[in-house]
Amino acid sequence: MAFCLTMTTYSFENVLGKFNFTPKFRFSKKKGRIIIDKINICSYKEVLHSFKKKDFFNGFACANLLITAKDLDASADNDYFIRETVKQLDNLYKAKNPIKDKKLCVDLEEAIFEKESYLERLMEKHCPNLFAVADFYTASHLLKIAGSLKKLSQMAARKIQILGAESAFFKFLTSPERKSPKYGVIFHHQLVQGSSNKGRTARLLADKIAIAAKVDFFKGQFIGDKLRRELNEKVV
Amino acid sequence: MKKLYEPCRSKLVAAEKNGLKVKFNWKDVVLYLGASHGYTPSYIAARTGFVFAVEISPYVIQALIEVSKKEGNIAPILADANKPLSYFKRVSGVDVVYQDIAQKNQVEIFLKNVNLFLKNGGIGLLAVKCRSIDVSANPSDVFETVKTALEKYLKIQDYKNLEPYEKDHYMIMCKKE
Repeated sequence: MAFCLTMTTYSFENVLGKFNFTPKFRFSKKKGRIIIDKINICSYKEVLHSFKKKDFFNGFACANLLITAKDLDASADNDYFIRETVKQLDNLYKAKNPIKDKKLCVDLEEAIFEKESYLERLMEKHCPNLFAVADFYTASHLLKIAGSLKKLSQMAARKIQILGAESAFFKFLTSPERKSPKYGVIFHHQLVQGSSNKGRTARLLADKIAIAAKVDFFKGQFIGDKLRRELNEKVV
Repeated sequence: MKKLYEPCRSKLVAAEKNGLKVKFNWKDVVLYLGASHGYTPSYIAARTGFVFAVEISPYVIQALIEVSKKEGNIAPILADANKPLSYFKRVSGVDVVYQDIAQKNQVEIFLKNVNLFLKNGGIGLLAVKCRSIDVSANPSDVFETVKTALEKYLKIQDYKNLEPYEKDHYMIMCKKE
């Protein structure tokens, strides 16, 4: 909405387009109120009426929706949305844990279900191979700790195995008595939980995750089923 | 069926429960600064003609877009309310300005937007958050400094404390002349 006064016309710019007024279109002040001069009534009445019509504001809604959709794509990528939803999910899990009565947390469970289904849809689009190999919980938390898919794809498998247990790892580096940690976030995976030798399965899983992240980042074909089958054979 | 709005989630509903009388006209156009998930904007949009909703966070605005598609008379804008020139061309002249932002310079932001977009005779509604302006000071002292800052440019009509629903929050209604 910009008024600029030139010698011949008033021009008026907006999202919807440019509006031009006639040179006789003037404002005059009387007792604090703004009254429009009674010159050339037909032309400016049409203009003023169009501002009050519903179509004018519907145009505003459509134009603003289009521009915000463009801005969303430019300002934030999928990594940002995944990180934010994982943060909110962790808070919801924390709030739900101490409540033992199931009737009380119906609304909380609904909110958790909504966020989880939204995250699953995002991950299937953004990183299908990683989602197939690592489960829902581990894949999302690995992405959150690493920061983005690009950083995760550049990590070695050994680093992915320890991701999430940084404090234990740095204690091992400083004092010689401690042992290095065997697993970080990967510990919550289904295969690691069920196996008898947890250190070995965590190592094998981290290998496959490193491959899957690299394939996802360079947008290769879907090989998640094949990687998961190989893992199951090796673990059992 | 009429939707029920809770005073704990919306500051405008809390102020109305405490006795603030806000008169919305069904033709009014509203500029809403800090419209997070679109709970209060949908409340205002049911009573007025059109709402421009400004929000800075790209995560939260996804929910706002869904609300605006449902209601039909809300226009979501992804911009910083501290820089009104960035969304200057996407907004028309406005009858009501409503602000609910947790910032240190929230009065400054409010006056910037009022000067640019509010018509003469329009209403400005400001939710004052005393703790986000100054943590250590007494909240009633902070509120008086806000009042003196507003009185230079606007005429204050009414103000209410939102005590049982929100802590250390006030709602001010003022008029531009």
